[in-house]
Amino acid sequence: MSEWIDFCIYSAQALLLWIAMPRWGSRFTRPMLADRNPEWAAANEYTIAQLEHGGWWKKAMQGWAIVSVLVLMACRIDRLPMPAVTRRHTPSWEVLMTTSNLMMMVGFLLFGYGVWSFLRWLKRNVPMTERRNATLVPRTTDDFVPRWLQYLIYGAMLAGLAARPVADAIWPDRLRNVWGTFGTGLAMSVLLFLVAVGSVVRPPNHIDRALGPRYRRTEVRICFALMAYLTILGMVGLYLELAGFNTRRYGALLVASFVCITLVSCMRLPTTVQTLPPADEDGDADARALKAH
Amino acid sequence: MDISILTSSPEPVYEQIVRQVQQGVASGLLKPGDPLPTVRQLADDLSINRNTVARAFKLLEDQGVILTAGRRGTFVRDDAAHEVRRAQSGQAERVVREMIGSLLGTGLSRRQISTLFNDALSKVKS
Repeated sequence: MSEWIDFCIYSAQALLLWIAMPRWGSRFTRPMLADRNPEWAAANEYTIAQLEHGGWWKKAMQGWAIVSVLVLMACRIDRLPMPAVTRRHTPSWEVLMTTSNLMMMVGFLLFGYGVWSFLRWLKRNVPMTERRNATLVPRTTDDFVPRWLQYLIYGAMLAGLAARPVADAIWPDRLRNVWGTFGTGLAMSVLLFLVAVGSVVRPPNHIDRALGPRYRRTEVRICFALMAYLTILGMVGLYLELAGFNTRRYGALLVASFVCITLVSCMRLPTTVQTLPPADEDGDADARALKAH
Repeated sequence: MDISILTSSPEPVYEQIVRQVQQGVASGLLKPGDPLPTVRQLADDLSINRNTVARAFKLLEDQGVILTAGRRGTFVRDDAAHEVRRAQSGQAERVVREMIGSLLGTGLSRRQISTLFNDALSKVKS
């Protein structure tokens, strides 16, 4: 398979993550601020417009996407300055995969810093509205994913984790980096489990109010789908590795493709962002605005 | 059922929660056996301290309106409507007693106070 396919998938992933997603996400700035404090939002149109337009963070993310694609291109056409020994012993697809992962890690750090800065700014500058609403209906994971399916996925995940060390004990020397892969799998499983639980218990936010109840449902289901997907991928990879195939390249490409498809699916969700009524003197507008969602 | 709190209200937030749960039970929106959210969920959704919600739930539990069943969660009790009525009439009685006490303190006689109450009641009815 041509390494140009690897290049295209990793580049698409970088462009979607660092250009399309921040641009798509910026449309939630206004509802988010109006959700936190409608009066503040009504009185600070200019600030909101500036935030929507995007500051240093959005430009930095766009810049990072372009740098990522250029670096990947340099890797593909063998123009990346790296030690000749490494270049000689490492296949081109692996250089692309490692470079893409490295660029992604730096991108996520930049992304995280931007989100952290924005939340800090929000906490300091936009006070919470005095009127707040909540439901008296409890939220549980069972509301979004049937319990039998949860148990099935958890069971498969545990079996998938245990399979590699067990396979190594049965067929010694046929698998590479058993405990490293096991550790990565365990970390990913714990992370996805925590994200799934967090998606259920987190308070409703502006995106929930903009997209409706199906947003949380999608969020939770994506977490479970990812758990199932990574488990299946790990099992197939283990089988192929035992059969003598090197699956790292195809595994990485499948994960990157999945990320791209998930991001495109998210962006296709309808965004019925509602316009909030202007605040009046007795504060009833706040209540109406919140209830309207 | 949704509840709404106003942090700037002179009524403490935990009392607002208690009152609205009681109203929910009295109006039938909350039925016996209905589960309630966890303290954490309600506190996070309202962006308030968990102790405030825990205090409201403790008060409702003491009043016999809700039942905390360990890890299974918190539920509306079977006789919650009766307990809410009792709590509300007890509260009303306290308010009326306090008002009568303060009116007696102003020098009004029992007969005058009774007449005032009857007049006020008839105006409310009309």
